Amino acid sequence: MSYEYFEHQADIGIRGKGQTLAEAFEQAALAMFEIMVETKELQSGKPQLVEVEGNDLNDLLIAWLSELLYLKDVEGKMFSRFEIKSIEKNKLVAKVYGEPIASSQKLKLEVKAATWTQLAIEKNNEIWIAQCLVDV
Amino acid sequence: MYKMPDLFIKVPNRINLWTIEKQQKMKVPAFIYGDRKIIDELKADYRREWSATRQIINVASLPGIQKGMLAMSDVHPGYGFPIGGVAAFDVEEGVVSMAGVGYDINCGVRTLITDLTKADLDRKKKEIMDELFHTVPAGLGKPGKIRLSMAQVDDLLAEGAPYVVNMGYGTEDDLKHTEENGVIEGAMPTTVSDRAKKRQYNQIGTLGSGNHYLELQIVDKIFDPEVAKTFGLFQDQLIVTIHCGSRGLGHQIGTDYSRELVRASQKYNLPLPDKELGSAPINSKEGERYISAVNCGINAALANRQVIAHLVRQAFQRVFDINIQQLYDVGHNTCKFEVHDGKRVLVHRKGATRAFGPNHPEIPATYRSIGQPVLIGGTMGTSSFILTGTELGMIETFGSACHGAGRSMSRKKAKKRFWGKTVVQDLAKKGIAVRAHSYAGVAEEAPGAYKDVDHVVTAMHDAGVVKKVVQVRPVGVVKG
Repeated sequence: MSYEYFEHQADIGIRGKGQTLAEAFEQAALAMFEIMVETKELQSGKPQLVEVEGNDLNDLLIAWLSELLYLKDVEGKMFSRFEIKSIEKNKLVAKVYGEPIASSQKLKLEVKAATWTQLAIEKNNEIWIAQCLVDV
Repeated sequence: MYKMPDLFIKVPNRINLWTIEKQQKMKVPAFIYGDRKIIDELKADYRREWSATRQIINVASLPGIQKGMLAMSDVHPGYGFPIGGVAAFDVEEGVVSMAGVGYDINCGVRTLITDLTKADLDRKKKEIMDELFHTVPAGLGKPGKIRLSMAQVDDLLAEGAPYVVNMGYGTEDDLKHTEENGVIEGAMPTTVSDRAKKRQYNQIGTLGSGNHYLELQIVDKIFDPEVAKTFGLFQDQLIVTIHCGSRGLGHQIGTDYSRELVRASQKYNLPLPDKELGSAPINSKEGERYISAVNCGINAALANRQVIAHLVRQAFQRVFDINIQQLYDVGHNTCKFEVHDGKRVLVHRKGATRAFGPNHPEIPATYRSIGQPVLIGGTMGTSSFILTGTELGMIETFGSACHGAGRSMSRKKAKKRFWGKTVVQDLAKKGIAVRAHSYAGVAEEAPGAYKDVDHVVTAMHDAGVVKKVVQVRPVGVVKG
């Protein structure tokens, strides 16, 4: 499916859309990494497993995006492909593909955190959306 | 026809001070510093589902808030708290909120002074810009020059800037000219997750990206010659300003505790008017843990700016063969225990600078009789200011002031309107050299995307909360 950005005075809103909740979460992650790097120019690299848990779906979205930001810093990687295997009982299992950050990549703006502001997970006309503001 | 009463009421016999009277669930009134233009912008924005004014009202509804919810002249919507927001809480009945500190704990400004003039700089400008660009790690994913073990990260979080000074990055004199002398007490590394610490170990001494920068500036206008002299400032002088924060460590502490404090709000039955406004009683286990974690973040940011300052110093030694001194270092995303009117309170400053007035014991001896230096960053291509705190500020704002220009255009719009390379060329024509790791980043920080810093600072000055000392203009910028 797709993603888009929405307006805010100081920061950037990301909105992932999909036919399933999983797709919306994948697209939200892609939108977040596109702020930092030209994701289309990245190789997929080796997949790695990501498992996160939340208290509810809102908390799960924050946990998912925060986990990817954490891996970006500690593994020094940029991610460009996200495959969510399952979202069940506020638990998410995914395979993500990334490659080490290199100066050859078109690096843009660092995302500091995924925030609770304007956080929403909804289904409208058969389309799921997962959105929040990210702090840059 | 019924006309809605005005939400913002001008405080009589005062310049640039407005109030929102206690209403709905507010525990205290709100006070906003700004001229009519700033207030009109707030009014225009109020109808939106999510606005700075709503955030002001939400924070005023939290238990234990003292005197009033305060908004400085650079107020704009933030996460839960407005940016430019100041809120102090009673230590027994009050709460601590993660939104009142934000995701970049102790983001702040450090200014270094040289004895060089603009003419000296012009002779070697390219050399010093190249040297700074290569010496100070900046931009996304750029590791620092220091690598710490996990045990060393713990020591750094507890010990702050003195820890890196002991490693050879800086001097005792730098520490004397830093808020808290470079280290805040009550930082227990056990309250910071291993995940946060892992994001720290190779990021010490890095600028990061976004609105963070290192700037060469020239003293352009002197408003108060006496104070300028005491601060070591003179006309046409070259100074250096660093703006950055606690990097990945602070971001992770914010992320961890944003989730923990939402749970605490539910546990202690605290109001949660906005999902971002999670809080915990100051004297609860969760509150104490968060305050300690913030202190660790404050120390990490102080150490970070200390290392960068020393790298700048080394670059100046190589190019100009001179030593540079530190004017001061101030944070603008903090919560700190302070005594005001004889009472101990927890003061949140979100995008607000501490601005203690004359004779406060926490001000370095050299400046004590004047008031604390207040460093206000502009943006690329616009001026910055050095101010001092005042007695009125101590009475009205818990010794606080604005922190910068404040955005007036979203990053998305900025990127559309300004293309990075054009921005750089335009600045070059004005004599401002820009060295950036990302042109996309330059577009988003284009000067046109910010409110006029002069306007924001003048509004605070005219209100009497701070006093202008000097205005400086940029001549060189290094960005992530």
